Amino acid sequence: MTSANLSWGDKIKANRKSMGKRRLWAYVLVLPAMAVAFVVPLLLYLLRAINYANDYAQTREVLLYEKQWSVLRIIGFDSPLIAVVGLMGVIYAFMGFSYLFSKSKLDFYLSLPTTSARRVLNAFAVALSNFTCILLAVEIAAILVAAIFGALSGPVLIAVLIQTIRMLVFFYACFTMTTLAIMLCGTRIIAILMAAFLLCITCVFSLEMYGLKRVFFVTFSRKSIPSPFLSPVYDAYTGYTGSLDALKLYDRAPYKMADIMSTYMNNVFACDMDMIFTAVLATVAVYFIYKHRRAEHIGKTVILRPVRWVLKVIGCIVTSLAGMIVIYILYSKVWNHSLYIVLCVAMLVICILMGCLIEIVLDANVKSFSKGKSQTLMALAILLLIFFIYRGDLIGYDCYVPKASSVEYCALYTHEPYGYYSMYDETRTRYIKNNMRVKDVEPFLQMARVSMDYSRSKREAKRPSGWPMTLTYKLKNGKTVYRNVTIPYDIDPDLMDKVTSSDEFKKGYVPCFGDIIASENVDLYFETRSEYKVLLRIDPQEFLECYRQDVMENYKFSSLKNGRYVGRVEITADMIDRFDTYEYPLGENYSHTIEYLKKYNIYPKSFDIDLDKVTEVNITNNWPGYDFDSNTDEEVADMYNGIHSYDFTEKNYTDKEQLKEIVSNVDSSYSDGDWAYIYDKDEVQYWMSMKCKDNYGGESYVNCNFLRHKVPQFVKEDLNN
Amino acid sequence: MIELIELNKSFDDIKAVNNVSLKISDGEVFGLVGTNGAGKSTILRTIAGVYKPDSGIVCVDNRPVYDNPDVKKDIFYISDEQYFFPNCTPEDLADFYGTVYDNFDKQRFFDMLNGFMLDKSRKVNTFSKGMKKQVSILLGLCAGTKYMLCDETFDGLDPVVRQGVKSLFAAEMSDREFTPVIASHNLRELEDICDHVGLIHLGGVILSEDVSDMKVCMQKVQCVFASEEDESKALEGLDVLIHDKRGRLHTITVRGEREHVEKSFKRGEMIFFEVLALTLEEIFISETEVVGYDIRKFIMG
Repeated sequence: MTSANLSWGDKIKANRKSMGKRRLWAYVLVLPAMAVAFVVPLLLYLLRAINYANDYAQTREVLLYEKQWSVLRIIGFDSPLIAVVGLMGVIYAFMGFSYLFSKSKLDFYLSLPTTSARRVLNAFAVALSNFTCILLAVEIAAILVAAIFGALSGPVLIAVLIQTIRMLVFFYACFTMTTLAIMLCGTRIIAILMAAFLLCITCVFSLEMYGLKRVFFVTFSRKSIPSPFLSPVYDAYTGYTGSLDALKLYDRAPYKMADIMSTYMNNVFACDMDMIFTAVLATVAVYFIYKHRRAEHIGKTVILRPVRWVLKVIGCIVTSLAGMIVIYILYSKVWNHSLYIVLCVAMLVICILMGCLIEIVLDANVKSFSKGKSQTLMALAILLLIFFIYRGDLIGYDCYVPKASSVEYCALYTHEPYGYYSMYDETRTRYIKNNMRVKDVEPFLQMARVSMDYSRSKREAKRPSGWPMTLTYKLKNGKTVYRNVTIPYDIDPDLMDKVTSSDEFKKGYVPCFGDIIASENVDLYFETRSEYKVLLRIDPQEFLECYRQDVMENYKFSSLKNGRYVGRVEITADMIDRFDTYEYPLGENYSHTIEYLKKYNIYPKSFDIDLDKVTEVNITNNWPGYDFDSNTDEEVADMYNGIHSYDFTEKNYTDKEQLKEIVSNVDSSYSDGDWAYIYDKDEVQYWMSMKCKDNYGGESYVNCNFLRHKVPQFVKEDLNN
Repeated sequence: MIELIELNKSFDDIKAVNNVSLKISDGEVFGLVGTNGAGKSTILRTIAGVYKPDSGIVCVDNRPVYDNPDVKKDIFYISDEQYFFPNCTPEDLADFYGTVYDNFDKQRFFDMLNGFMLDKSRKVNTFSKGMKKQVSILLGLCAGTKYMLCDETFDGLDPVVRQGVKSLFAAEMSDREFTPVIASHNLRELEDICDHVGLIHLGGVILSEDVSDMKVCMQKVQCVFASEEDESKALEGLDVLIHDKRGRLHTITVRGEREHVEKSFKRGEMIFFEVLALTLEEIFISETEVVGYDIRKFIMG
């Protein structure tokens, strides 16, 4: 009986049987591997959560939260296993198109009565159907395990489904881009290199552009996120970190899953679109390249000459820029601007060497090192262009201040992210990011111009004196632009008052407005230079209302620059599974809070340090050989910020007479905090640590400075000769 | 009919097929003979649709072959390096080819395997080189295609199997439309199977003729002339391909029919004269020597 006598159904059955047999090994290898990667860790995490809950007597709510978080971490959008899926995409592509590297396989497949398009389509269909079946089987098994452990809820299940779709898209993107690499190459090794190149190049290039900004621009901010396009690997990575951000934002609480998912989808929407777009683009490219792919291309490194040229030029540029950035990082500690010449020369040398190396690799022949000079020259020209654009700031990066009409809102980040919080996973930076929306942009932009000009003028200084800040512009076109600047100490106070006195600024900049201290066990500690007092089981709302009122009435630049902080309120909340700590600096004019503290008898009558309690003082001179006392306040500010001394001298004082003179000249207020200008108040050349007896029979240490021009002569003689 | 018209194929700077024009008529066994690197495999791959011609036309029954599944259904190609799926058995291959070729006759394939004492359930990768070739040939015969392209397929088959395959070819040709194209440089093997031979050298066709005509049109003569004057008289006007002289004994390969050659030689007086039978190999050596492929260059440098 011939095949012509078989029914169409029989033929399909026979084909499927044959295909099934040939692909069986893939199922046998991939299915257990995927099961081990997805189901086993989930099982272990769930068992761990249960054991932990038993050992530490966790409540049912906490256990549920831990179990649901385990599900999200393994098969939800917090899952790092998306990397495994990407790897599978690469492996499947090599499995499906390995015949392109074997002459006997090519003879076999290309002589069969089918078209090249159908052959490619078939390979795509087999890979996709095979992997989809395996992934779905594994996901269903994992969901069943989660359900058995009672770790599922509607939102968690939706999160798992969304992540499954993202994993399939990522698989397809990696599969298609690797297929494109295989199509473009005639040898397996070069195809592997090409696949790595295609999957990572835009990501690497984007990171290099980010690195170049760091090298060349004084106002560069690390908050500026590189946004590579056509890079599924980076998209998947961003999807993973985006999920972490969303989970952190909502305290990883599964009951807030709807909010988490909404934030997550917003965070990663652009990346998911890029992943899909890249996959579609790669599919189209595969279609066109396959039409040009011939059996005789086997053994060639890169089958199309223009692709080989592009590969070499981009390879030279990318490695040279990477080399330049690495050299900068190595020398950044001893950086001076003449080293830019070294950078430029190094970049060009690396380019030439890479040009030779790429030729050797692509020809698999050492003698070919001198070939392709025109592409090397092209790469050199592009590199020089990039270098001079960045060195000369031809793109105007360091003077960029947007037009007021194009700005939706502005924000200002302090570079001290932890001042207010010692709280689990919370920082002041995140508070500002989520809360500051300054709509009155004119004074903000004016301040930005002054600060940008100042920062540029101090390009050579390692740390120009002033307040280091990050400006943020949320533009109406959806982009967010960040610039690091130093706001000069002599900036117009009226301008800064306009910036800092708006309600939007205060509520966005001072985190007390966002604090929800949801605990019944809240304690308050009030710390001054002289005393440390405790108030147990307080109502945090009462304190917060007083403090917020003070901030709204008194928080503005001019008063903060010239005023003092008398102490620091610390609130600790027992959150069952952790302790959150909130800190509130107390300004001397924060009358409502002071009244609150007085009401509970924890506000001290005097802030002077009690000499009787001081047993020893350690004083350190961090700038031996300098005498800040003889300089103006401005000079001191410049020296303090600009001169880094690796040397220091120190001495312990226990003599009562000396201690008396030291204590009488100590600044008993706090000089840190927002917009503080300390150089006219404190002698910053000397630091001291006082060992004091506390009220409980123990000892504590108080760190402080001398008042300006009040350093005792014997200290100078001891530590600065 | 397979028709190659001014076919060209290059691999970078190397011209593998140079302006080849050939006609392979239906119902004959066509032998493609050539020196190493002459372009035989390239021509077969082009006919099989593996390679796309740089220029020129390859037509199978007046239809272009490249990327044309309808035409490829009529062609079964056995490469010089056959590929079989990993761990497959002849039975698996029959299943596969059954889905690829409409007329594949699985039962006949199994019967033939029995006839050649090949186990249908044994893994092909455990077969010897010759057994693998047998499997390929049997698959090709049972695929029911009109054309079967065999690249060096007969090399390595033992004489009994070779004879068996020849018989199968003959039977197949008498039963249905079947045209095997066999590329080889083992001319002794082709001599008694091919009806027509195409001689390829350096990518070009030196000659394409029926084997019987080839032998008729070329003669090998061994003789001893009485004098140099007799030699001149005898050879005057003859198309001498090779003239070898050892002592007084001349061995001369001449183009022309036997009767004409004998008549010409009789113009001079000879002490000894004999016309020898030419093998296909000798014809091949003679023809290629004319175009510069001289075996003596390899030996003597």
